[in-house]
Amino acid sequence: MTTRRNFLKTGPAAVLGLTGFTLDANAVVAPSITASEISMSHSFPNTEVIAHTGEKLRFYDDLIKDKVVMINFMSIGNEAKFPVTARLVKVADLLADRLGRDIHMISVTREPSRDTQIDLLNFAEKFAIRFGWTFVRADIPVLKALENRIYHHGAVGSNAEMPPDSTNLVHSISHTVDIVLYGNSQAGLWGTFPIEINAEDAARRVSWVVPKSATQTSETRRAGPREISAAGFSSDNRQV
Amino acid sequence: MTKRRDVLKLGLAATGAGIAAKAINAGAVPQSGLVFPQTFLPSIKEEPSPAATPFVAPLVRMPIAQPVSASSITPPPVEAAHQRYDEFLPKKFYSQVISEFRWRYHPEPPYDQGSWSWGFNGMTPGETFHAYYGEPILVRRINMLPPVGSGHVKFALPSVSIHLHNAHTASESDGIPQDYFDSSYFWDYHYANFPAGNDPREAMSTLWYHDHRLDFTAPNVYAGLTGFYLLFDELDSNNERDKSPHAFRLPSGEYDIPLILHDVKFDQNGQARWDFFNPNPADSTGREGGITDHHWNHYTTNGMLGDRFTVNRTIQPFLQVERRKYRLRILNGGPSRLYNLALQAARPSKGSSNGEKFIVISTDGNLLPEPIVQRNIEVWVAQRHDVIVDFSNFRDGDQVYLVNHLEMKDDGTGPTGRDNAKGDLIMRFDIVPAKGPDLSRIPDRLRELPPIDMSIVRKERLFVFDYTNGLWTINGRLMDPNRVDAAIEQGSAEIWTLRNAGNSWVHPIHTHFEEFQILEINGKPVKHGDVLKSRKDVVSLGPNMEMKFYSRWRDFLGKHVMHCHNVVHEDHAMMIRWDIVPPGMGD
Repeated sequence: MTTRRNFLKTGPAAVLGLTGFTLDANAVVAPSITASEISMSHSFPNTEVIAHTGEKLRFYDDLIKDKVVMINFMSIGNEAKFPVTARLVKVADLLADRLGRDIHMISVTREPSRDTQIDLLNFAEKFAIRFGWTFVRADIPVLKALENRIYHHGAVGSNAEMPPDSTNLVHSISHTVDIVLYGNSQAGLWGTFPIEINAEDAARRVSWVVPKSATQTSETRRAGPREISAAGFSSDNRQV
Repeated sequence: MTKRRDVLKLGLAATGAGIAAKAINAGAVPQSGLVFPQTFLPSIKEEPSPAATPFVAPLVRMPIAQPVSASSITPPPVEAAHQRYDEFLPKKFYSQVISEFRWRYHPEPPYDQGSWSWGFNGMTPGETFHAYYGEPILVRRINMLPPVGSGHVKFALPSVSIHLHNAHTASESDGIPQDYFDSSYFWDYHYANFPAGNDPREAMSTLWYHDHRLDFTAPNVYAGLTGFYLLFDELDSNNERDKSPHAFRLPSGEYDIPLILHDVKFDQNGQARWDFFNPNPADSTGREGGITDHHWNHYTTNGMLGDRFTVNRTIQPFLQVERRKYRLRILNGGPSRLYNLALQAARPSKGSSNGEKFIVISTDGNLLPEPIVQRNIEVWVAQRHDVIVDFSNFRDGDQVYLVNHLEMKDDGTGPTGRDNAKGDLIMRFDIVPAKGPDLSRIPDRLRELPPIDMSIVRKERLFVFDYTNGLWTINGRLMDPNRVDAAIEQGSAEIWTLRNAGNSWVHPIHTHFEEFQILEINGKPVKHGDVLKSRKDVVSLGPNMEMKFYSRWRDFLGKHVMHCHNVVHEDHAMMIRWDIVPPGMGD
């Protein structure tokens, strides 16, 4: 598998402590980002991004801070062979009015040179527009800053083969290997789910990290196991 | 055992040799797509935990879990929820409340204020169960953790599934990742306590319980949700004075000591810290045009290393031991660190020119056919070794250290391949005079291996463990609890080949429910006298390694899992679901 070979190539240098990173790092970090925008105070860059609506937003302050979010990378061009947005539309539909209230979705294009703000707006309107779901375009240095924080696909090929903004995904016709980062930024609680799980499962998982009121009740309830003959999810033995 | 060590060393050394050659050829490696660039540093290097003087804190000895009355379990258990409940009616009932509390890892500031932790009945590790074959029990676990957003432990999810590793337990009591329960809910676990196939050769000894929550196992275990579950029978009878001629009379009572190892990272207030986002100072090298005074954080999928070694959740404890034999049950509780443990004394004991001896009596909680003498033991995450250490070989006043010689890569994925010669001091044993005669024994023979019956093998399967798109995959895919990756017919045997497609990372691979026997490692059979000639439930899958094992699936039906027990890999999402299905319905 190409990705693996590429990763293997990188393994050696890691052990020897070679600094292959420096070549690429110049492209990664641009003077337009200031240190204060990428601080240790929180785990996400607070860099400026453009929403599909055209609004200028701070990635952390406006999209993540104090929210429960799902974050993924995508690109319009890849949607046909890698239908990540189509999958998330189903999740968004299941979240219904909780989306935009309890839970927010952020999709960052990894091809900002192709996916303009207008393209993202059209894509969202045609396909995935939902209140509480923001498609985001960032200049390449900012995108790289985001990618350096958030899980993203391993890239395929060397620099020479791949333009810096390319999303070169490993996938097959039958399945994809990708995850969605989800979490509660106020609590600092983060998890991921594989993109391939079914929409009901995904909607359930992101709900796990939504804050719940602390009920001071001494009464506890049975979660399981359910009776063997009882109906329930085929994935588990839970009663509730 | 020599063989196994050599295999590992060779594997790692071979990687190292390849490294040099490849690096020269490869030159600078593009980093743009890597989740973890090469200059990655974990927070333990960036901001080490506060200092703690070693060996001033006594080892915590977990209390033995005590049963409660059946009538106190209200509402009563639902019998119809459990397979074969009426055949294995519980004879004892236990209750464990899972809650948040301050746990003191060390008596010095800032640790003396206590670190917010999760545990069972107010402690971590939880109470040690003493269970007996032929005595089924029921454990009700009640989740009283503060709901999301309201507790002090922020990094873990207050929703749990408690797995009994590696009990022969029906799916609904196994604690599979999908069977989670939230705050103010409870779950009933029915432990039938009979050996697989009712074959006494399948009896197990040292088990442990730990959280297995889907997507959050790593932080939840790290927060404190672990404990021991020891199983006894008429051979391993928990009585070194047992008058039965069949009894092994292994060291028992206060001389039988479970030790769970966790490496933990603390912040400057002494609070356990989980690195969801590991700092990466890759660009802090002062290049022109770059940002030179900040750190990059990556969402971590590789592993989590702590810089404070704890045993039974105490930082580098000491334990007074009498000059006699002890049974130490050593368990690596993770999350990601692997150990190669040795004993080291300031004044070597007599006859120990090659190093102090462990008399290994079990691996992965299963007594071996015969004891094996080793100078070191490798303990990967979730692996257990019961060892007898005869402290009578030392003198009063001697100090003996448990030392780790395995050096991990900073990103937590596996060993560097280098020997950490100086070693990490894990804990100290202080030798004092024996209070009385040592009546314990080390039998020549322990538990025979159950036979391998190739005539009942229905299927062979291959599982390739790899790294794809920066994630941890099995056969190219991530865990999906709705997808059955193997449908195994009840009563059948299968041969599974586990292959590590990576040449620089390692995976401790665990499969639930039944112990297996390794047939081949890299195409070569395991020899008698090797500690791997045993029943196991965690395979040490080293770089480029391939292991083939034989296993059976008996007695129950339902859902279970196989996964990497580097629990960060498990969460991202190196796990499959396999089901035991009725005969004729397999895949």
